[in-house]
Amino acid sequence: MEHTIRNLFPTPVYYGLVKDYDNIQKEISGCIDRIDFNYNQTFGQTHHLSDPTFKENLFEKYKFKCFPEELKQHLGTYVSSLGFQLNGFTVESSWIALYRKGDYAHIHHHGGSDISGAYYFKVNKEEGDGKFFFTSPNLALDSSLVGKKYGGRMPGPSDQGGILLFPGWLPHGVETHQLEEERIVLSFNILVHGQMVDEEMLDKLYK
Amino acid sequence: MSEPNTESIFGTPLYYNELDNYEKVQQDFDEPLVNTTWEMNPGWGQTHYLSDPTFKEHLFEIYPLDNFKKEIDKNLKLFCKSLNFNWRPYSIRSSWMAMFKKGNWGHCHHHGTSDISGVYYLKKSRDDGDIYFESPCIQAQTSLCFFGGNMVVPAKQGGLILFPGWLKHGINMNNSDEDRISVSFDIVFNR
Repeated sequence: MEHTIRNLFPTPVYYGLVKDYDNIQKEISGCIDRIDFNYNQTFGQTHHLSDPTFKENLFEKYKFKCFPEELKQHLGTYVSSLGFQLNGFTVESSWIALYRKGDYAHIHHHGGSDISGAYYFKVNKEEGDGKFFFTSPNLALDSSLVGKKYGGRMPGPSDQGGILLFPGWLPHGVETHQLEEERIVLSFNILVHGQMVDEEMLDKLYK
Repeated sequence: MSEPNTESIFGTPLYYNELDNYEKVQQDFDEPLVNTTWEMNPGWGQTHYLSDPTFKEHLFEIYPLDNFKKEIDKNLKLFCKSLNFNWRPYSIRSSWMAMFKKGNWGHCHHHGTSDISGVYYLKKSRDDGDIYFESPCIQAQTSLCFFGGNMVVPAKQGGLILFPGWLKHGINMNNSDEDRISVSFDIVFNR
């Protein structure tokens, strides 16, 4: 008999390109012009933030309309693929991260956020653009002699106009940005309302 | 990933195969099965029977088990190849048999510092309790929208499962009248 290798307990992450690209870019561009970006001093000289305290919610402050509409569709697709019935959601925080030459983001997670995400407002295709990456949420796998292939670091996709959604608890970071051109990302944390319903979907995704 | 897509990353690898040399492997255990005095581990309560509740005995040292050793070696190499793990010498550090009578079960546990652990199903029927694995990601276990539950891995008599020694697992209750007998072992690669 042919042997089988199963991939148990994987972490699902979502990526898609926005459809309403021009209007979303215009919406975010309008608020960027009004932001005074600063470092978070406790992080050190890592990257620039629209609000280093993370208390602001850009969606509310600048009354975003186009992006939340688009986000709703992508979030719906994502949670549906998880077997989760979405009854509603709240964007509890949102901010913009700006990477100048030499900036990076340390490896971190987003605490109690159910789903976190990033929208790539301005990224560069050239080599040297600060690349987003995930790290394994399973320390046992990461520190094992034989499981390195399944752990470690995994690059995330980041095309301009792309939305990346992932569990808030999944550690991630951004490599050092080495270009003169800035790299700008809108980040957000989401709390979802609903429940797990689709056992068949769970079978497909996790087994 | 240009099309909207959910991708699964950072999974835990698990190997399953039904042994080619089944008849001879089964014969390897004729003598151990006759010689074994089954006992429960009193510290665990009334869970299941073991060939040695102290785990000090090593079946591979007491009995030749040559056919079984060859099958383990062959399947371990296939598993390691899929892991991109450069092959190196190894030892089977410990081995024992477990018997589950009707109503018996196995609590959720791991195999400590074993690099790869394994279980071979010497005697198994349909309703006699499957092995299940617990998510190693406690964040997923406590998540609202990401699955972090247990995964049952059904196996047949003659089947071999290999998995990381740190992966927590247990055995569902044997609800049949048939005894269920498995052989467990821990593999450590040379440092």
